[in-house]
Formats: sequence, structure tokens, C-alpha cells
Amino acid sequence: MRNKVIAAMLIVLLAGSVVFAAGTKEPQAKSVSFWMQAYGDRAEQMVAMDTIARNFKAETGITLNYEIIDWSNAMNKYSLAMRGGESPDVAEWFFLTSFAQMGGDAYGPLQINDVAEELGADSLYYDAAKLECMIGGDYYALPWRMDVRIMAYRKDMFDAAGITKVPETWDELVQTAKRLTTTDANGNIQVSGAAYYITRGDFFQSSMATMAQNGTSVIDLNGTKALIGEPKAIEALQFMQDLVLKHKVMNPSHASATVDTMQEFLSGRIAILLGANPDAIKMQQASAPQLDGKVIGARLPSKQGGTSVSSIMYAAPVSIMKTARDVDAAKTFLKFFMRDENQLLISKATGLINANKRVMANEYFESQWFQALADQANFALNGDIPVPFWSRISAFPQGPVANAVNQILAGSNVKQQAEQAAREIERIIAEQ
Amino acid sequence: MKKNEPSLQKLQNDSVPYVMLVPGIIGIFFVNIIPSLQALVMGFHSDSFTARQTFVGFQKFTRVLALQEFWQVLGNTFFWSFATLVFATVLGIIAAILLNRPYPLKGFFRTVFLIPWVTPPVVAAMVWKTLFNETLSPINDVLLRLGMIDNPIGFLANPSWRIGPLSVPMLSLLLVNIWNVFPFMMIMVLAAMQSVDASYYEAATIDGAGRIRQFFFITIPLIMPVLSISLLLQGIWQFNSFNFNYLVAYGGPLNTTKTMAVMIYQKAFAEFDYGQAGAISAVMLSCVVIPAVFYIREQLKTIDKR
Amino acid sequence: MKSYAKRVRFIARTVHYGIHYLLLAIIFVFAIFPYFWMLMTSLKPRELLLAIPPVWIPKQFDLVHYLDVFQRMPFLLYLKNSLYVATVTTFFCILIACLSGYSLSRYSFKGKKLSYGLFIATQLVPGVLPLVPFYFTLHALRLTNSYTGIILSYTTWGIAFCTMMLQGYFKTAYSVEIEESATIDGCTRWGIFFRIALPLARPGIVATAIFSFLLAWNDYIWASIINTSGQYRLLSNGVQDFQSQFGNLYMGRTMATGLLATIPALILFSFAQKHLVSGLSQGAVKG
Repeated sequence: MRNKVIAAMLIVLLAGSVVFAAGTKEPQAKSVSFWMQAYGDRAEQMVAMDTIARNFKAETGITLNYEIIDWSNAMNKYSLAMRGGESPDVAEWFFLTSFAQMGGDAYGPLQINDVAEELGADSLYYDAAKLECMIGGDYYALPWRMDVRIMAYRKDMFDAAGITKVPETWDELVQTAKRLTTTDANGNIQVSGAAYYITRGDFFQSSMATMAQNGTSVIDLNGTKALIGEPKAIEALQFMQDLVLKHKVMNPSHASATVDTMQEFLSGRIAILLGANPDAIKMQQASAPQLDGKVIGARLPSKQGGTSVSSIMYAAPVSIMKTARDVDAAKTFLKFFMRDENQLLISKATGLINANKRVMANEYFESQWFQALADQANFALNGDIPVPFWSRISAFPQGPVANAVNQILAGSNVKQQAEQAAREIERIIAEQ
Repeated sequence: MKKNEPSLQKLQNDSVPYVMLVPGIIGIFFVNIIPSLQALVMGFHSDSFTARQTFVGFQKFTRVLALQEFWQVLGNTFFWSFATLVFATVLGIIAAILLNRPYPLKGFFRTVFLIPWVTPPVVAAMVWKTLFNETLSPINDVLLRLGMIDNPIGFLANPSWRIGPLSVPMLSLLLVNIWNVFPFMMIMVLAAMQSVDASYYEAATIDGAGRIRQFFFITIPLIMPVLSISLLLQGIWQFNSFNFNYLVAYGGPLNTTKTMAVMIYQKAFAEFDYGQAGAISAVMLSCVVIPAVFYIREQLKTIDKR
Repeated sequence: MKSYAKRVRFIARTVHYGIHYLLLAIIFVFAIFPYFWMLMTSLKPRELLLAIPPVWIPKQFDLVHYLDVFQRMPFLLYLKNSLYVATVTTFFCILIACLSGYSLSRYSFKGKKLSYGLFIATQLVPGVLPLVPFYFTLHALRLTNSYTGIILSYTTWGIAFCTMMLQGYFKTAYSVEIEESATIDGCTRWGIFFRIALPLARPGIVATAIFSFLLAWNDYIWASIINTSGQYRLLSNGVQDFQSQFGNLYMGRTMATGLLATIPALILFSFAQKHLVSGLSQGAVKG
């Protein structure tokens, strides 16, 4: 008898599972799928996107299915998509030129000069943002947010040390950091005067910012040669290493890429965070509300100071994929998403500045933090250099350059590591 | 088998073994064997999965073997498997001995000891990352308060002290893995211990053998079959270890905690080089094949016994 | 003299008890400390999260992190997905593995050694290797972003290991004589399978089912590649998403998530674990 009961239960389970699995089908109504990365505090981002989706449906009758993809999955998803795997209709992504080349003729972003013209993109967006969305002079995406890296410092720690001047040159940075560094009896650093921000699991982006501060970069803009092995880049990397070994203002564990330097900054173990990202304020509000008003943003110091470039910035390109099921619906959504009021909404929710000049004129961006970001944007180079092999150079985490920087910060010979990275890059260039 | 069996029924009866096997074999072919072979074949190609795929012979293999990272990671992987096995087994055996005695609360302890094994890797990695966080670690807190150390230990941050694969981050990660694996060894050994006939021990006690002698001369030999199978299986699983090595520190700092499986993943996804990933996998398989052949031979010796 | 001997025995026994429970306590702390830390951190008020030195037990408990989690993550949806996928996986995996395992344990036929070798060979492969080619196969079959695709993956992964385990149980659960007498009585092979083998090996089957369930519950890498849609997302991926780069910035939330994600498995497991040991001891090699 018992066996029969068990058998009956199993049959019910089996039948139920077949029905269940079969019951999930693709939505029948017109819909657009959109992949977006996670920014700031997820809840606010979700609320904003829900609002946009609701309004979009009310206005056009098209359903928006959006997915928030974590950065750690994003690279996998897009690289698979470019080879024929699952792909959204519209994507907010990165490495535009690389993915476009990877996708070839069948996959990848669609050229959207028509949409760009309709929105007046040429005059509406900041130059650096536009550059990241164009391939060979044509628009393959439109920029929405801008991600500029700046210097964040703890005002309370500055006040306690009696510092009133914000450093603007490398020398001033070192001097200021020395005053802020505290050590214990054995000479170990308790509080780092200055440290670099880790993004995507490595120091690659911070090293690019530092190279920009010395007027150079990893490769040249046309992608024909590696600049990282040249004296100016070596000098910049040496500066990074000096902070740890020579000037001793950075605790070696803050240079190891496994420590969350933002967390250390918010818990008071780092006084100046170099290369902080814009949603730092959101993070501070979520995990250290007692620091409201004490985290101040300022332009990163460059080698000479003055009006030199001292940072890098990214603009997230939003593209329509060639594989979009309904290109017209996708274009409608893109235009809707790019509207000023929607951009303002999503920027507020994610705590990021926008690539749209009109949106940036809004009073919301008048806070100290945002003004610092907007100011730095005028002195920043493009972080993603638009060459097809950029994704291989800046692969995260721990691409070839990032590995070299990790080794350098751990004390390896700067010239050796830089030249090795340069050789690796030359090899990648030669394969093109 | 029976002389007067009608031929249809005989056919039916004879086909039963095959019929029973068919679903399993089909399944593992499509999900495991064929994709693995595909992946290995990619070790000989460049630009896999794109229209520009080209056959490049052993180029990927030579490139992979020339990477200094490769040898470091290979060493890490062997060390990882070996150290995990040794410590997790010792701890597992100790726990099994303790739980085999008829003292009160043993059921409770057994349940609790199994918890690390039941924890999803994502959750375990997350909490151990916090426990190893230099500034916020309670372990550092305790050690500092007891005066045993002067500075907080950078469990995952400090690759400077290193002897081959041995380094502070590697040791920290080993602790996490032992925490996760010892319940498996414990439960296998415990089950084996419980199926040992009590009469062996009674006879030994009558003969005057003490408990320790009984353990080494009765228990160990009798649980050896189960123990050796568990060791072999775990050894192979640990050689292929991916979860903790990726989740806790992405194989860093400076590749000190990276295992081969993590390297495959990074080559495939971060560098888009499926060719190298396939090549590395081929090397891994050739390492695992030898102990596996032993295992298969042992098993095959016993399968024909009815 | 008699009372002296008694006292010595009493002291010896107390020392034995003491050492026994001391060792148990040490292992207990080792096993459970991470959970203690997760619990305490998830209840800390926000300002104490990044305090140095770290706060062990906060003076006040704050449930804000749990509320935050439910606001940001459709927890119950992910839980339902994971439960559904793990249960169906276990069901099919055990079904198929019982068949294959029994076949390998009792019959001798041509191709047996080859099949055996195949099942073992699949154990040797690191999980990430077949992932990408299989993903493209699933994509071609339009099975990505569905329950079917991920269940298919987990089931077949489980079959290899469960077959191995079950063939051991079938061999040792009962003697061959029982089968032989049943054959003489006119029972077909299928009849033997259903009426003798399965019932007698039940503890072993339960133990294997537990393994299979845990396999499906704990995986994240396959699910992260195969599924993108939040509708089908599994709990372990939901937890992983939550962490941003290090998770330490939203530590209260990540700890709360971790606890919430493990509790269902722990509850299920505490019911099942009795069977685990008895099942394993039944199947433990008896020669």
C-alpha cells in the first residue's frame, strides 16, 4: 500500500514538473529586452527602471523587460552574446569597439546614425562620451552616464591634521599624505595617507588614471603601439610604487588588490582615496551614514598640477543589437530612455553624472560631489580606448596590464614589469 | 538462462541491462562528454566560436606551457589537493571517532558538523572573506587582544611570504576548504566505522588489546576500502577545485590562490581565449588520468563479482 | 581498596568525558563560527558595520538589513526557483541513476566495463570545461533562460556520481541469493528491480538523493551562464549578485542574504541527515 502511495506521489510530481516547465513561454505582446549593469544602491535603480518601464508601456504599449546584470557576469554574458549566445535587444555595456569586432557581421551593435541625428547627439553629449559610442565616425551607441574617477578625501581627518589645502600636484599629494599617515610603534602603517581605488578586481583603471596624470597612457589612441614601456608611463607606475615603498604613505595590504579600499576608506583606514568612482557617495550613505558630509570630492592631482589632464572617464554606451527581434520597438525604447526626464531619473537613482549636457544643468547636480565630478570631467581622458583589442588589454579581473600593476605595487621592478606588459601588448597588436 | 524460456521473453530479459543504462549514458554524453570533447578540440584552434576560427595545431599548448603563471598554478593545484586531503581527513577521522562513541548529544554534534558541507559555496566564500578581512576580522581581533600578534594579519592580502605554493593567502583558503570538506570525510569514515562488526572489538578486548591498538589494527584496516575510495574521489574533486579559489579572491593576490580550473575560466572568459582554456584542460586531464586509471582498475576488479 | 579503585575509575571517566567534549567543542566552534558571525553582522546597526575593532555582539539588534534585502532582491522567487530546480533534479537524477546503477551492479553484459569507465571519466572533468559548448547547445535548443535547461544540466551532472554511489549500494544492500531465488520463482528482471532491489536499497537511495539535492542547490557557475533572466534566477546567483566587488560595503545585507539562503537547506538537511548516515553505513563496502 505504501509503495502505491509513493508511486502516486512521484507521478503527480512528474506531471506537475512537466506542466510547470512547459508553462513558461516567451511573452506574446510586443516587448523589448534591455540589459543594464548594477549601479549604486540596487533598490533605487530598480525603482527607477520600474518607473521608466511603466511609463514606456503606458505611452507606447510596448513591454520593457529589463535585467540588471552584475559586473562580474557582464563580461561573460556579452562575450557569449557576441558569439551567438543569448543577447538582449538593447544593452547598456562597454568595450564597444572590441565587442563590435568580435560580433562580426552577424552579431553586435547596430549602426544608429538615424536615432543619433533625431536626438541631436552631436551637440547634446560631451565629446569624450560621444567618442566612446562611435566606430569610424558612425554612431553605434548613445552615451547615458558618465563615470569619472576623482580624489575622495575624509574632511574629518584633514581637519584633525590641520590640513586646509587640497593637494594639486604629485609633490603636494605626497606631502599631504605624509601628514595624514599614522604608524604604530613598530613602524607599520595604521592609517594610509593615500591609496588607490580598486575597480573590477584590479588596479588597472587607477593605473591608467595615474598615467594620464603624467600625460601618457597604456597605448596610443590609434592602437598601433604600446606606451606603457616608455619612460613617462614607467615614471607614473614608479610613482604608484613609491607611495608604498619610498614615501610609505600606503599600507602594503592596500596595494594587494584583494582588499576593498573603499571599505577601508569608509572605516577610516585610508585618508585619501585616489580614483574613487562616482557612486562612492551612495555606498557611503548605505554603509557609513555617520560620515555624511565628511567625504569630499576633488580633482585628482596631476604631476604638474594646473590644467593638466589627471583622470579617466567612461561613458556607458547604450546600443541596439543587430539581433534585436523588433528593431523599431528597440529604437523607440532607446529614444524614450534617452529623454531628459528619464535620464535625470536614472542618474539620481544611481548617483552618477550624465553625458547629456542639458541634464547636467539640472540643480540636482549642484552638490559638492557632483560639481567635483563635473569639474574633473573636463580634465579626463577616455578610459576605454576605441580599438578592437581593448577588451583583451583591459580584461577584468587581472588582464595583462593589471597583472603588471599588481606586481609593481607588490614591489617588483617597475621597468621590467612595464616592459613585459608592453611586449604582451605588442604581441596582441601584432595578432590583429 | 532457463532452457524453456520463450525467445521473446529472453530477448526482453537480455535487453534489460542495456535499456536501464540508456537514459544515463545519453544524458552524460550530451551534457558532459560531447561538450568536454568539444572544449578539448578548441585547444587546437584560435578564435573559437567565431566565424574566423582557425586550426593552429599545438600553438596554444606551447603558449600555455610557456606562461610562468601556468607552472605556479599547477604547483598550487597539487599542493591544494594534497593539503586539503591530509588535513580534512585527519580532522574527519578525529570527528568520526568522537561521534562513534555512545556519549550523549552525539546526534546534535553530528548535525552541526555537517553544516559546513551543506553551505553553498557562495555563502561560505562571502562570510570567510569577511573573517579574513584584515581590518574587520574577528580572528585578528582575538589574536591582537591575546597579544599573540602585533599587527593584523593580512590573510588574503599578503603574498610576500612565499615558499613555492605555500603562502599566507593559500593557507587561509585551505582553512576554508578544510572547513567545507572535513564533514564529507567524517561522514564516510563514520559510516564505515559503524558497519564494522562489534565482535571484532570484543575478541580483541578479550585478548587484552588496548583501545589505541584496536583502532590502528582493527578499525583502520577495516575502513580502508571506504577511506581509500573517498580519498581518491575527493582528491580528484579538489584537483578540479574552482568555487572557493574563484569566489574568495579570484585566484589572487598574484595568483597565490589560483587553481587550474580558475585559470581555465579566466582564459575562456576574461581573455576570450577558448583555445588556451582547452589546452589547459587537456593538461589537467592528463594529470588526473593516472590515479583515475587506478580507481577504475580497482572498481573493475570487483564489478564482475556477483 | 575497592573504593579507591572506584574513585580512580571515576576520575578516569570524568577526564575521558572532559576530553571528549572539549574536542567536540573545539570542532563545534570551528564549524559554526562563520554562522555566528553572519548572524551577528546581519543584526548590527549600520554605523557599527565598519567599526574597528569589529563589534562581536551589538548592543542593539537592528533588522534593517533584512528589510533591505527583501526590498532589493525577490528572495522568495529565487528560493522557489532553487527549491523547484533542486527537487526536480533530484527526482530525475535518482530515477535514472537507480536504473544505471542497478544495471552496472548486477548484470554482466558486453560493454559493461566501457560504460563503467565512461561514468567515472565524467568525474575527472572540471565543471567549467563543458560549460561553454553546452551553453551554445542549449541556446540552439532555446533552453537557456528556462527551468528545463538548468534542470537538464544538473540532472546529468548528478547522474554520473549518483550512478557510482548507487551501484555500490545495490551490491551490498542484499545478497545475490535473494535475487536468484526470485528468478527461479519466475520473476522478470524488471520485477526484481522494482520489488526487491529498490526497497532493500532504500536507505542508500535516500543518501544519494541528498547528495543530488545539494549538488543542484549549491551550484552557481552553470546557472549564472545559462540563465540571465531574473525570473529564473537561482538563490545562489541572487546571493552572488548582491556582493558587488567585495560585498563588504553592504556587509549587513550580504550577511543577511547568506543566512536566509542557507536556512532552507539546513532545515531540509536536518530532517534528512539521519538517513544519510544509515544509508551510507549500509552501503559502506562490506568487502
